[in-house]
Amino acid sequence: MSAILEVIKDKAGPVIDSLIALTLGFLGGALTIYFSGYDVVKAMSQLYNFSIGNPFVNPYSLTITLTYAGPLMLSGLAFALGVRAGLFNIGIEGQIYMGAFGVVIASSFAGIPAPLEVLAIILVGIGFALMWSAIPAALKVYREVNEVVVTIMLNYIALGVADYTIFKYFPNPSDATKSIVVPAYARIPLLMPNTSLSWNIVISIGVLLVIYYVLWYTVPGYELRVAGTNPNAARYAGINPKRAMFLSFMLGGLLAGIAGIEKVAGLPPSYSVLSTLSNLQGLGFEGITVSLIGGNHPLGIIFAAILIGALHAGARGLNLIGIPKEIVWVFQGIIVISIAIPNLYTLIKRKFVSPGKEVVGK
Amino acid sequence: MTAIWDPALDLVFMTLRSMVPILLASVGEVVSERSGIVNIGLEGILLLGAFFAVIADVSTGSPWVGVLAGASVGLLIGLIHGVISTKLKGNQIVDTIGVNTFALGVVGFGIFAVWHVWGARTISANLVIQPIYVGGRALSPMVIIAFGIAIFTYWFLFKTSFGAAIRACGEDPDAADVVGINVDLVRIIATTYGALLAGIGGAYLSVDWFSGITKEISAGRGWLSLANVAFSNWNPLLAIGGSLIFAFFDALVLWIGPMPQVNSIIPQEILRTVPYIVTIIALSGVIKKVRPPKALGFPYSRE
Repeated sequence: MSAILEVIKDKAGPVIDSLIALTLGFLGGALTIYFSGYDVVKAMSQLYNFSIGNPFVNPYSLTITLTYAGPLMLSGLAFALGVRAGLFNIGIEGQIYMGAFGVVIASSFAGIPAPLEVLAIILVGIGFALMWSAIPAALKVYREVNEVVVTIMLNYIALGVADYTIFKYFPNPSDATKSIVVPAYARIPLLMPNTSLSWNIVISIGVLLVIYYVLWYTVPGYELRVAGTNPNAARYAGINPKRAMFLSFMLGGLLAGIAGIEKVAGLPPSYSVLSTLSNLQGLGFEGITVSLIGGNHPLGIIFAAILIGALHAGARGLNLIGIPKEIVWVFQGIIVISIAIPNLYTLIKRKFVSPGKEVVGK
Repeated sequence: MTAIWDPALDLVFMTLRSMVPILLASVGEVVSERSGIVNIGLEGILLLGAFFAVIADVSTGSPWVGVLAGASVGLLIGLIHGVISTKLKGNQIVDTIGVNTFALGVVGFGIFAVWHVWGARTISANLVIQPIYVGGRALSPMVIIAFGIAIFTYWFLFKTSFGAAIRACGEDPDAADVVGINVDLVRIIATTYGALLAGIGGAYLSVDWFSGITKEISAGRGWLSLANVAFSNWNPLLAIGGSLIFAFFDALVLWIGPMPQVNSIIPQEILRTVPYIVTIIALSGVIKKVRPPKALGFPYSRE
């Protein structure tokens, strides 16, 4: 019993910090809406109705939220794996582009037997994403090149390469704004008919649980976490931090590949890549927000992805009353800036709740 | 001047025009990183600077007030980032990722909220910084200002005692502390100066170069600036050369835009990726090993 209390006490700080950051984000977003002359109460109710609504009467809004949440869980976890190994892997965005690019190439094989087509989508999609994550991994491990700048550069290169090649060689013959579509028999099936909710969400949660198991119940996962928390201690214990980093990059690439597959093969109605990769852009970057809100923990990430998914679903409602959907980035930006400050709760308590009184930090 | 040189001279002037935001942002970032604080929010500061510059420009009728507004936005973000990275011991990368996201939101939302137009707001010619003419070609005075700022920054970073203090904080904050330098304060000042320059670069984009604001106006230039800092080995003078290289490719894409015969050989989308590829090669140490300031990225606490 006391062990459980210890765990709660241990986890409470970060959870409270996340909640404070969320509160600040929503407050800041609401104030931005208010000071821009919009009806903020109406805006908040739109946000709620279009993301959650009344799921027992009509679950449609909730299915949109979960549709957004599925791939976000994977991009969030991909970033979290980097953090756990002591890396800032900002390259998930580009790896998703490459994964989606692979899915488009595999779609051009349409006509081969269904199981082979599905296999091709999985292998080529994940293969392309892994290829893209192997570059920063190798540069980091063999040449000690800072991964932040390299992964950002790779995102832009992936955008140029994928956008050009897809629309030069795999354009949709009947619609210039998109690529060829994934053949109907190889798509990820819908979970609920007449919604956009596919098995994506189930796949994502499944993958998250597997990674959770790997991180906390296997030796390589343990080594990855130790190497990230304290590389010197890791070395002393015979763990090679470079191997852990490499593993983290490759697992991140794997997750980005699956996210790319979900976005292209599991999301109606397009089942394709749209021009300038507009239906993929931002997913990798938002994974950073998701991971940080979720405390870089697989279970936290499930909730964080649903929250950010809800924000996007709700933004459709804002758009209807003339509020640009970009407002969700204002919420997210403030949340992330707040999360960057450690021990937010202790800080606020010290500054505002009991001025002059020293609060003993943890 | 013979006509044959005209296209080449066009390219030179286009390169100079593209250089300004990259040079300002990277020179600023050099100072910030030299003090030990990394700021990956340059892309966002360019965007915000561009946006608020237009607001100030339109409401006062003076593009120079717009530049001032851009500088102020940069200053404010730099100050916040500086305090988070020092006094609050925050994570420097995380908070500036937040700045980028925040900027995308504010500008995307704000263009519609302020002017009720989708995606872009143009300004009339009299609200744009007036060019000077060199050999019959328009040249923005901001080009000269940017060169001046780069040279001035080199001078104060390497030839003054305050510059030495900045570099000491980035290399060995313990030693800096021992000799009586207020590490946190120096870092906050350096970071604020850096972000302020990026804010000016953002203002240049909207009230000078593009005569207006779009939500994609920064177009990766902040990231290129960040890359240019390492590319120029944390030296403001070398950053001029680096900015010119990055700007050359930026200009080249615009220059060959109307040439279908070139486009069919090297597509624009691919040409656009060249600076990024060059950066990765440069960082990989293939050309020359670069070395970042030792204490870069870590908050300083007295042990």
